[in-house]
Amino acid sequence: MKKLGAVFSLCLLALIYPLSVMAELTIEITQGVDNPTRIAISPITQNGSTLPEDIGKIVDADLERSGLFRPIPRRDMLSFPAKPNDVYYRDWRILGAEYLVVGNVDNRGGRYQINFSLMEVHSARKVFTKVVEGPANQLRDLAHYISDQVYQAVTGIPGAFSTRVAYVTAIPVNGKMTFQLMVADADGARERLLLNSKQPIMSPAWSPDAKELVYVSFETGRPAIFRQNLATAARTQLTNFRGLNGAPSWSPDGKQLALVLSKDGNPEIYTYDLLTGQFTRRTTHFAIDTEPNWTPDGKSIIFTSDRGGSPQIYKLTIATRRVERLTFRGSYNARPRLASDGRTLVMVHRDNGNFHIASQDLVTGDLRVLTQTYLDESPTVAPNGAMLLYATKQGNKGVLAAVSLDAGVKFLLPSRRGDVREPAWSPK
Amino acid sequence: MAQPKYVQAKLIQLEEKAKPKPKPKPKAKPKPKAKPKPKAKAKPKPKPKAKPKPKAKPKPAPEPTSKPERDTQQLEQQFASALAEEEEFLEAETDAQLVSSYSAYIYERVAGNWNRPPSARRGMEVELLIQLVPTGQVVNVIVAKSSGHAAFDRSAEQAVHKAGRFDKLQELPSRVFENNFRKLRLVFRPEDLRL
Amino acid sequence: MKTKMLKYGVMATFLASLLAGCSSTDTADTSGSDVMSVPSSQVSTGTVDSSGVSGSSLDADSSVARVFYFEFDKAILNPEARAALRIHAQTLRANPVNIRLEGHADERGTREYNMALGERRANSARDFLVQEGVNGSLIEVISYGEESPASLGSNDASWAMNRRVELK
Repeated sequence: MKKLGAVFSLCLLALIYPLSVMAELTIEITQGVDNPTRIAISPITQNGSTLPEDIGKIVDADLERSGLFRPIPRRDMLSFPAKPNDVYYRDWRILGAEYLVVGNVDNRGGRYQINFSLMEVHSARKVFTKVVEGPANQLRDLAHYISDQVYQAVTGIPGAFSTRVAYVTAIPVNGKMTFQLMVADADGARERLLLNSKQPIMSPAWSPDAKELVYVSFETGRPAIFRQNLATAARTQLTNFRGLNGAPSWSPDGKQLALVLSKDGNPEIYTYDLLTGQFTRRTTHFAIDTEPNWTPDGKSIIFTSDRGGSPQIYKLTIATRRVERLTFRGSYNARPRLASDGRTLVMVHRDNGNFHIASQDLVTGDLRVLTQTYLDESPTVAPNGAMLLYATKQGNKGVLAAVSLDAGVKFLLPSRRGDVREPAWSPK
Repeated sequence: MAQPKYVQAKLIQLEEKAKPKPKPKPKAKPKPKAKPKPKAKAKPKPKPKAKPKPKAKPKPAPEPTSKPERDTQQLEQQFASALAEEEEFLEAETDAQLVSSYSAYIYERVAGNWNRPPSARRGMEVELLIQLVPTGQVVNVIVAKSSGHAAFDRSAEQAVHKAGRFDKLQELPSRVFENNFRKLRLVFRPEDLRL
Repeated sequence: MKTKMLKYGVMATFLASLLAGCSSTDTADTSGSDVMSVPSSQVSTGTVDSSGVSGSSLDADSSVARVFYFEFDKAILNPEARAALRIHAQTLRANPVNIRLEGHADERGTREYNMALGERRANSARDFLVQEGVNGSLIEVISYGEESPASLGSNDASWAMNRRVELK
């Protein structure tokens, strides 16, 4: 519990103005503690029968992973209501629960329909009742939907539990490295292999509709950019230039990529029209210009450049071609990503020789180092702006870690075989 | 020896001054002194307080009998009400201290249980009106002025619920409780948020 | 006739790399997948002519350094690298063949920026060769950034081994 200062103020209006007898004493509460919210998820079953997936457990895990909730263990529960009318609030007050989720699943001709409600325990009030339905093989998605609704009702911001993450793994096989491009649910489940290669894979990036990825592959003997549809696995090679072909970033309207080519002598930012196949060069400086990323309004591209002597982050306004520098603290700032609010910039920032993930508020200029791990890279922000994933090392192993944008929640993701790197959070 | 003389005595009724206008002399009626609730009286230790509410203005002057007597009585009257006022003043001061320290107690309990949602921002403000009973139990909470953000409002209500019973209010003299804590406004306006 | 000075310099570098290589492998993860790019034969001999102009070393092509190392965040060729490249230039002028210069960086910093850094290093080597009279169209420059390390440790010694350009 945060230490509370003795700062508070008594509103003394009632003293100064001898007005109505009914003037109440007013106390201003100006601080809080922000402990995780205690929430209970009563098991959500099909009228008591189990289902192929334990929905309640998925919701528990989602909410806990966000760092903002502390679910009540099922074994402590005194009853298992499935409907608001079955709730005996005292059972839940005893456990210290602030909120309770109840729900029930109906099978309707091979499709599942879940009726679920969120209750406020102390005031014995229902916050909402909602319905979600979907095919039988998407129970996990229905559970994540429930998590999203609960999260939004309590926190005020949308959940990101129905999103996915793409990443690259590097595993030694028979003395040689094997590289894989993977996609998994945000909770790590349903991992799928998209590409397997003996050559490096880098820089996966999502399309705005979350149906495709672009990435860099060395399979042709040189780095080249490829495009792949997740559902059909159809692939196209988009570039084949000498020199660098890298760092693809999909524009918010889905029509262009920003990328890096060094075919003209040094690394520059280009845009590529996906329809016409035309490349347009956007930067003209002899320094290294790389790691482009679109701003949410699609009008500018932020990128890394060492035109100032060391890597810093710049913004190019496409229409005017004006380039302005965004970072001024520290001698190494690179790999920028902008949260969907358009104002929170996250990047790799070197501080005292260590590479951390930092965030900078583009309006106030405040810079904040978010991580205590070092050798950090590849930050990627969740679409709701609340959390970011990045790659780091634990010992000699590449692992993924998560940190909330206010740095209040941090954890490492469960370790997988080999090195994991380059996470990319889907936009929806 | 003369013969006693008899005197015809005549009783003279002194007109009671047909105008009873005892000229109130501002003092006389202490006038409940628009004493705004919060401040009220009493010593720290609930002195028995023989004198009930000074509300009851002391009866004006007792029928003055003779002028000199009247003056004295007026003086006494003035003195008595001046004394009463001073007592009230002292009472008010110590009541103020009580209100202040028990308000701090409520602040600590509520702030210590307030989990702000991540969507909370500096500048948001919600006002709750809560009703307490002398045991410190909260019997009603309503949102008097919403912040416009449901999650923020709800976090404030939750903070009050989680604070539980404000036991220490039982230590208050009932007058102080009644005048200040039975109905209370809590304004939640975070000043410690980064955003 | 061999002078010792430069020879020792280069030898020392190689031996140091070898030692660094050894010490890093016992702490590193068990993958053992070395992408060791320093052929052991080279390490054991490592003789180089100081002036680089004597013709006698030309036939021992494999004994000329084919890996050049760099300082952190820098793409400047050190004297040993220049000396070795001078010899390669001679060979190539006499016998033009296609070569590849592969640039690398250590793992610190961001991946795509390190791709650019690796390319910059390889370009330094290429520019030097061209300056020495080699036909530029024979040279292909490819960067692997930090994607293909020679040593898998996360320490100064490993990193030093990874900041390199390889001539193939």
